[in-house]
Amino acid sequence: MMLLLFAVFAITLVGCSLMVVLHRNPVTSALFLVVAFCALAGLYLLLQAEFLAMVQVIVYAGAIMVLFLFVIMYLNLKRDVEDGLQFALRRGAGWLLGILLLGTAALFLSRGWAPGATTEASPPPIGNSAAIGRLLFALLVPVRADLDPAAGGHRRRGRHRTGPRQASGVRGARAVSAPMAVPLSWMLALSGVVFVIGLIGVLVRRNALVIFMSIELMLNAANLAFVAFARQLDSLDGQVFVFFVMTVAAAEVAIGLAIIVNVFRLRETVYVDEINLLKG
Amino acid sequence: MTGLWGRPDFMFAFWALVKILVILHAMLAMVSYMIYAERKVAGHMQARTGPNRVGPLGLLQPVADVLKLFFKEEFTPAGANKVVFHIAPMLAVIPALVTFSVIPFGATGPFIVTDVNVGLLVFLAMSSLGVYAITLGGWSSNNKYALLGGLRSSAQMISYELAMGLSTIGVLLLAGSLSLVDIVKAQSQAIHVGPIALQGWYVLLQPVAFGIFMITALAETNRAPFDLPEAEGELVAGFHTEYSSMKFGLFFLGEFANVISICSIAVTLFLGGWNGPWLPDSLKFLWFFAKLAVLLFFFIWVRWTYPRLRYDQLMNLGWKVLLPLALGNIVLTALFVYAKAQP
Repeated sequence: MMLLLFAVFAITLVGCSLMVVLHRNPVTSALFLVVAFCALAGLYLLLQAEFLAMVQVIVYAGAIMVLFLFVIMYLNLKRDVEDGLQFALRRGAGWLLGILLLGTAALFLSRGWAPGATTEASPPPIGNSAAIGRLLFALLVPVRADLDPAAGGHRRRGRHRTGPRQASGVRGARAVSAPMAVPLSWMLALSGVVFVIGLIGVLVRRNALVIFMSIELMLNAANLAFVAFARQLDSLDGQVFVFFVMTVAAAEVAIGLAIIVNVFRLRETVYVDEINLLKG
Repeated sequence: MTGLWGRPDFMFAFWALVKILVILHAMLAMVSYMIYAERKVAGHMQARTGPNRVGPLGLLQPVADVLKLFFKEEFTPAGANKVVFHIAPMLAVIPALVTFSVIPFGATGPFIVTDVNVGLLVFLAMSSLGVYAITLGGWSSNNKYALLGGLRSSAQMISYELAMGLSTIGVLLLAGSLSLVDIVKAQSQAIHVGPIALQGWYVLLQPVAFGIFMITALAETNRAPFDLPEAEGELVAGFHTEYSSMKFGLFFLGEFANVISICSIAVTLFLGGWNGPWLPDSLKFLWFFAKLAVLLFFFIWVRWTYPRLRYDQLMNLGWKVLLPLALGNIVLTALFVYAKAQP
């Protein structure tokens, strides 16, 4: 079951990432990126990072991509020309590099590389969001007595009483699933593939907005690796990293899009090859 | 077949499906009678009677409305982006309905579909996905009024989402959980003010947050006085100018389903969910629906009372008033919780 879900999410993620890079219409690219982010949220759920999965939908799909769509509609680009010999050359180079990197990812996959054997996954007795909060703020604030797993046993018992609900949602899946149903190397290979697709997008496309989307894709590929490692090593540090990456990404998108809008106002173009003078 | 019925995972999937079907249809029925209620209340507020021709008291009016919509011509404007034009109305309905999966309607098992430990985040995620319907619907219509409506809505909803998210944090600090079931349970203890024992609803402890939540809820659902995306005086009909037939109906359905889901969340977070005196546990869901009905009436009441805000006023209210207020509320609540946790 987990493998089937993984396959569905992974295929959606890779397919949508490819469409982001390949489609000529930036609005369509943005929409495919939204679907890719939702698939990524699904993968986070499989990796028992339900807090991050929801934050992924709220921050990336809900806020960042809406900003992208807003800017694309606001600029209302009429033309989408990407041709000429030097572009063809550079495009070829981009694809070549991409295929090389893909080969590396395939090598990882075939060798099933992963860090040494890990401990049996012991799900934290409190929920994922509570655990992340504890990790983030434990230094600042003493842990509240009623939230402490040792003292707060009555809270958990109350929840488990109600029959079929016990098996519902993410909490139930944690109790049923094996330590890690999907091998780490598969997750890392997926992360590598998505990163390479983002890289190809940066190298091949000239529309600054699509380049920016490709950068987001690369950031998310790195996030996936972080979450996968966090799951494998049974530590939440990776998830905290991703949390900060998302925060920075949200701020970075606001600034980046503001720059693109201002460039468009001055030069009437968002194609990076036409913005080649170091003058305003 | 008998072996299948004995398996716990099959039974779980079966009952989950049954619950989903029941809630889906109950919500669709609620939406249609919410529209009826809106027309009726609006009528009485304007000294008219409202719909009263179809069936006794006009109670069959929703059926007539839907039938009419089905028989209208399905029209796609020239130059529209066909795929997106068709997807947008679906996106209006789906997130609103998904939200109902995490809302605890009653105290006992059958009224709770799922209890995930990120329940509130599911709601916030779905409400942030709701922006796409309006933005894409406006953009794909290839119409300047629709585009303006779509742009307005994306700016408005992003601005008010922040204040809405922040206003719920006070409740989270008090309840110490993101699970909506836990939040409702945390409100079951009475508050003692001198000799009087009050219901421990968070609206008493978080009145400012409740006010901010209701204002942002009006803005998130594009209801008057925040209905700028479809301001008929200036944008014809805003983002759904070019929509007709059942695609228009879906936008309508989505708007009202959103109103009901956001009011349900308000009941869960601030009004104690199913908590209430007198009734046994199995009938507590009646309290939930009573509170929900009050909030829904509030939404209709506001719509027919206040004039629409200007766009700059809308942005000022969101960024300069509600956001700082919500932040201040969080700081105060955190200090209170911290002081109380000290031995």
